[in-house]
Amino acid sequence: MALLHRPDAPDIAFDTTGEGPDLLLVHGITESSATWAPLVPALAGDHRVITVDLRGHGDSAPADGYDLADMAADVQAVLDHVEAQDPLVVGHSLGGFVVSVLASANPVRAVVNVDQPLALAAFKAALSEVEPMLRSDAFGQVITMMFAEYAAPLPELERGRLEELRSPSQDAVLGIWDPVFTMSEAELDAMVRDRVGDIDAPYLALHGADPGPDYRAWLAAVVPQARLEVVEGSGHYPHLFAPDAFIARLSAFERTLG
Amino acid sequence: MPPRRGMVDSHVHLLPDRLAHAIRGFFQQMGPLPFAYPLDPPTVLDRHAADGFAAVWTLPYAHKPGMAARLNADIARLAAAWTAGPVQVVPGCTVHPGDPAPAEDLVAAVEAGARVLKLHCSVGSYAPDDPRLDGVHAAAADLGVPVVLHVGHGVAGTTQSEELGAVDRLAAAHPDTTIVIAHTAHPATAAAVALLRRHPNLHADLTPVLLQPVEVTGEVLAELPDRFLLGTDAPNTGLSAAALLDVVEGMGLPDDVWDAVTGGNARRLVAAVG
Repeated sequence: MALLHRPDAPDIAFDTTGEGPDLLLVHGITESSATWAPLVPALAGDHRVITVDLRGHGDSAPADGYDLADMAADVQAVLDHVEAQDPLVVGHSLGGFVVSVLASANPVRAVVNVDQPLALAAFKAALSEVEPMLRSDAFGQVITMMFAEYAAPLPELERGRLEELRSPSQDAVLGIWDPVFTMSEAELDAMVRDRVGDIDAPYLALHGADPGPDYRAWLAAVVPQARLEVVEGSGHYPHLFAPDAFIARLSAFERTLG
Repeated sequence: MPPRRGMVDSHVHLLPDRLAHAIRGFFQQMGPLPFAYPLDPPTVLDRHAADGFAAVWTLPYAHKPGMAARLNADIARLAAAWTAGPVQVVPGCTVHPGDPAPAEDLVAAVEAGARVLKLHCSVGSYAPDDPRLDGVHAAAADLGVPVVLHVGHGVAGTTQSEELGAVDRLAAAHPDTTIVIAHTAHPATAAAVALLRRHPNLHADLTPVLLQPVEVTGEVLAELPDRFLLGTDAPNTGLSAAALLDVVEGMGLPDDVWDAVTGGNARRLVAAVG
């Protein structure tokens, strides 16, 4: 991978593959651009696929802080560096959050958010229970258990591949989740609305399980043009559960973008 | 963005439970396929309602003689029950040329409520212009029942252009019968469109084949706006209705053509649809 150097910001690793309309892929927490490997060859057939490692992940450098706006700025810096034109930005998990924040502050062709609810109240409740363990020596075990559950519907080989490439940095994970630990639900919600409230581009949210009527209403209020779809039974990784179906869905969505 | 409401899906396979499982098992023999829908009809219909559909045509088919009449009776009963939900389920029926009196089977099915006939050539192993079905096509014209015809021998549901010659002959021999070429004969869509231009009684549906959308351009739809229908193949499809609608939206159709393709044409062919 190439490295983007900037003064006063961590080095960010990125790659481009193929030719065509720009398509950005952003991975989830504790993972790296390698998670997209099963999809890149097919997508690169008719796109320039841009992959990045988020700060503190993969080949990118760690950082002092992990504010979502800074992480989105890292990715935008890569897009600027490769002179991306009107990119379709796709993010999974934390990456779904990052591309949403990016699209709220920068022009993009459209956003695809894979299985990342932007409202964090439920996540805060779940995460608070394991916070002490995440801050302890048991960090690695907790992460392994969490993601084993997220990846449960995937074929065995794919689960093994993800397990192999997962390299959780306790510092990065605690930094990213810091607002979830420290802010009240109301503060967290206000922060999120502030970060993603200006998305004008077409927005497709693809979930592996139904996030429920409350979240549908929340999303309709914050990103009114968003469409939310559920790929039943695919868990946290609908794009890896059925890569061909994900690519077909993405391709159909792209046809609406003109 | 065109409105997605009041639409008609003219190609679904909501079927008796045992048959639905058998068909899904057949598809799964071909390898792991990511189906967009569970088999449970009420769940499929709830999703269709959320996607903006008001009605569906459910299409049974018979892979051998001796089963069509009973299947048709089951479909009529089930469609009435399913219609208690948010989406009107128009019962289809089927016949098999190996049965003693397929035209009588059609008449009986229509008396029991069927409003569309499905003929599946590859599953049933017969040609579209099988002479044993002449009486069926004549009866379909008399009864005003459109015939959805899946042409070809491909196990994966594909059609070759040379297999459409039989449809050419059939459409000419039965000019008063409304025939809908399923999947627009994907991937032989160009040959199917040529037939549509030649025969005013021919129509085609835009039902994808597993993950592949039918590749017909918006120009063709605008040229023949009253001849195309929307179909999803739910539940045995990897492409959701929402994805299919994106594909159609991406064709950039004028509003009147969008309305015709997503519901108007189906309502014209089956007047019972509300």
